[in-house]
Amino acid sequence: MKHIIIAFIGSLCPAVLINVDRRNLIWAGFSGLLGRLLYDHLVAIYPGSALVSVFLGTAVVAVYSEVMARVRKTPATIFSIPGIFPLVPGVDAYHTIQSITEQDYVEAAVFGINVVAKASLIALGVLVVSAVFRKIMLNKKQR
Amino acid sequence: MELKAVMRIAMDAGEILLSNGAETYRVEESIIKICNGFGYSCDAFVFPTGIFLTVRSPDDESESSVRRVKTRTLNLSKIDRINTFSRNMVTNPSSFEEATKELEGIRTSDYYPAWIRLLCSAVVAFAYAFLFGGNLNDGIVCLVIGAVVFLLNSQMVKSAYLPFLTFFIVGFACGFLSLLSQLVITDTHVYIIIIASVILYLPGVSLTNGVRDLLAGDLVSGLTRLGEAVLVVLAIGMGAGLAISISPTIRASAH
Repeated sequence: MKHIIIAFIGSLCPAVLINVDRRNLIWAGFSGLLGRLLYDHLVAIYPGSALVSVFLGTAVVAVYSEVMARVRKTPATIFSIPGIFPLVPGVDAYHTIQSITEQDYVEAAVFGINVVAKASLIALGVLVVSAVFRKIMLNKKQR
Repeated sequence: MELKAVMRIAMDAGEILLSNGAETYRVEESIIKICNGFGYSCDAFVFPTGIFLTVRSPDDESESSVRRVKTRTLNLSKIDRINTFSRNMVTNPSSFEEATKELEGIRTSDYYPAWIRLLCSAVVAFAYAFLFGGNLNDGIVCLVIGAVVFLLNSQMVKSAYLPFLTFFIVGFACGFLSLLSQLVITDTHVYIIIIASVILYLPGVSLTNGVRDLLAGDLVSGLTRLGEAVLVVLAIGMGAGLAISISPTIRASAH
C-alpha cells in the first residue's frame, strides 16, 4: 500500500514540474502507479526477472498513455513521461559510478550494462506500444 | 489568409512546440496541419535546434524561412495547448489577429507558482527515498536536499544557461550534500539519498522523445536527442562521482 502511494506521488510531482495541465495531473499520477505496481508484482513473483519486468512495466505505462491521450485529447507524452519516472534504474546507475570511483571496473561494467539494458528496455517499451498505436490509427484513417 | 501570415503562424506554433519539448514528428505534423487548414501546401523540416519551412499557395507561389530554436525546456501544457490550437485551425480557421493573439497567450503562459514547484521537487526526492528502500531519516534528508538543489538549479538556469555544466553541478551538489548529511544525521543510506535527489534531473524526456523520433523516421533528430540524453547522464554521473571520490573519509563512515 505504501509503495502504491509513493509511486503515485512519484509521478504526480514530476508532472507538476514539467507543467502538465491541472486537469490531467491525477491521470499522470495513475500512469506511474500502474507501471510501478506491475513491476513490483512481477519482481516479487519471479525474482531475477528485473529486465523483463521493466519492459512490461513501461509497456503498461505506454498503453495507458496512448489510451488516455485519445480519451483526454492531449499528447500521449503528458502521461508517459511522468509514468516512466518510477521505473528509472537509479540504484544501478549509482553503483556503476561508485564502482568507477573505487576503480573496480568489473563491477562497474556489470552495473553499467544493467543500466543501459534497463534504459533501452524503457525506450523500447514506449517504442513498441506507440508504433502499434500509430499503425492502428493510420489504418483507421485510410478506411 | 495571406501566404506570409500563414507562414508566420505556422512557424510560431512550431517554435513553441519545439522549444517546449515536443517530438519532431509532432512539430512537423502541427505545422502541416495549420498550413493545410488555410489551403496551402507545405514542407517542414524540423531539427531539435531549428525549423525549415516552405509554404506553397495553390497558384504555385512559394515562401521559405528558417527559424533557429536555441532554448529547449519542458512545458507540456504548452504542447497540449498548441495541439488543440492546430486542430482548431483545421476545423475552423480564425483570422490572423485572433491566431497571433492566441499564440502569444500560449507563449507567455506560465509554470505553476515557484513555491508549488519547490514543494514538488522536495516531495519527489522524499518519495523516491522510500521507493528505493530508504527509511524515514533518508526521506527527511532528501526533502531538504531536493529543495536546495531545486533552488540551485533554477538559479543557474536563470543566470546563465550552460546545460551540461548545470547538470554537472546538480550532480555534484546532490552527491556532496548527501555525503555531508552523513555527518549530521547517522542511520541514513547515502546511495539512496543521492539517487532520490538526482532522479528529477535525469533525461527521461530526451530518451523517450529520441526513441519516438527514431520510430517516426526522423533519424537525425532521434539520434541527436539520444546523444543529448547520454551527455546529460554523463554530466550528472561525473558530478556525483567527483563528490563521492573527494570524500573518502565521509564515505568510509557511511558504510
